[in-house]
Amino acid sequence: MVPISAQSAQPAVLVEELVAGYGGTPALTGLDFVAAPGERVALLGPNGGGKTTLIRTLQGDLTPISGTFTLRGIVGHVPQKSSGRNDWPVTALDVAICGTLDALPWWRVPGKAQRRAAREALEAVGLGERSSTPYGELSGGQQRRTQVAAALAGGASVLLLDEPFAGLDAVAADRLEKLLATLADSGTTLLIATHDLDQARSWEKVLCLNGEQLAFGPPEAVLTRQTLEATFGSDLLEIPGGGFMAPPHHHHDH
Amino acid sequence: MPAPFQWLLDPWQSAIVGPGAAVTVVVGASAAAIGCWVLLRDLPYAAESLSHGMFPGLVAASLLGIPIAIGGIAGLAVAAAAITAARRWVSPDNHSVAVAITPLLGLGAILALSGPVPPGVGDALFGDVLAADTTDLLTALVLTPVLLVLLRTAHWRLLASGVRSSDSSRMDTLVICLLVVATAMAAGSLGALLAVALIIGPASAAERMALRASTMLWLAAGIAALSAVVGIEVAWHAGIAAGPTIAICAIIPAAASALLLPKQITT
Repeated sequence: MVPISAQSAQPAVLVEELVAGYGGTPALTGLDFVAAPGERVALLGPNGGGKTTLIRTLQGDLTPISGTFTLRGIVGHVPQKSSGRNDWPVTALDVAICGTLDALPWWRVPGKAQRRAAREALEAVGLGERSSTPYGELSGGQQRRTQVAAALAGGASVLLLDEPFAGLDAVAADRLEKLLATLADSGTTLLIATHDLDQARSWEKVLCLNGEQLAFGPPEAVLTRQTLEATFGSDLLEIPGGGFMAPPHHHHDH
Repeated sequence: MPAPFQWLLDPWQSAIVGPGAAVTVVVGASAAAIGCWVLLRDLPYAAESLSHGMFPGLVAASLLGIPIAIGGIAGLAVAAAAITAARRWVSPDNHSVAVAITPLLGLGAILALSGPVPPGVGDALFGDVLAADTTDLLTALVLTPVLLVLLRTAHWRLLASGVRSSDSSRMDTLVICLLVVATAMAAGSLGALLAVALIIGPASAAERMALRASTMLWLAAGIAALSAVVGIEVAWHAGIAAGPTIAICAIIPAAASALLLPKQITT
């Protein structure tokens, strides 16, 4: 399912010889990949392998050590579950409105247009009826969808999602998965950090990371035993009867 | 008029109560609204320290014979710069604030104890609500709208900083700057040491009652204004100092809400 990428000549994400890190020794080297509009790219790798470093670099939080990247359109970010404050006195609508701030000069406050965009984005992610609910009272899946709504309200055409499925139950994960598929269908490019090999198999591209770019391409070409062993090392779990499973997720700060 | 109403109106018939009460209501409401962001950004210790950091400025101004308000503002500016620098370059934790402020307090003590207690320092530290005059009221009426516009402009950015856990350093600096203004204004009525009661007390009570930040700000402003009125009533009839009474009245709702109300939003 890559209908829009096939129609588009310009990539949505173009990364060339990128080296990224936090100052000092690079955390991630040899990044070189392209994502077309409407593609879902799985960022696969162990904890500390560089997924969040890549997302923070593309988001503009970290300055590349060398190399370049180009993102076409507005970039939205869905942070890890543990970031942000659940005790913050905001509703789902407030969070979605916050997503519109990047497009406004610092002295402007969100007005009717931004509120409308936020409400529409909440409707789009299936949370229209929960707009007045305090953010801290939403379930993990609903919080993740609210963050997606915030990015959409800001007009994002490239979404960077950092472990969006971590901690979700099967129903919430399924709902989020369907939402991401719908967004991809509408032309949004999604870079999604995940540990789930089955998910990665169902998306258009896979980028394997472990301190460096190990592989990039369609899942059938990338998700081989050899690449997965290089990515996850001895942590890779072999499932009886065939197939592999990435090691379980543990939260990390970088 | 029924006797109880007459009794309640007694303080307000005095010419010296009006301006002081009006200043404290206006200034207290603004300070409490800023206090909400101080609480939300986990800066109450910085607020407490900031008011203590005024001390050397107040004493130095008194010794040098310059207006004590100028010394207070200078002390606040130095304290705010020290807190901001310590949080940014030493550690964002409270101990860096203590390290930054304690020397300032020590400096103030050395200056104050080097001779007779400088005149005016007592009022500057503990306030003199009823000494406010029309100039103080006009200053409050000019500064308050400026603060409200700043708060309104920054509101969504401050909210977003918590939602996204981003921009923390810049937003903390912004809140500390607003805090300097709030402390300077509130210190005029309640004194440097008691001003923090109007900044933190009402905000702390409102935090237990509000589900949204904007509601919290309005509630805190209302509680602060009410505390000022009730404090003056109590002080008048009990024949005690108005400043400390207002400070206690501003803290009582916080204590009561902490005992009686669960926090509205929990992690």
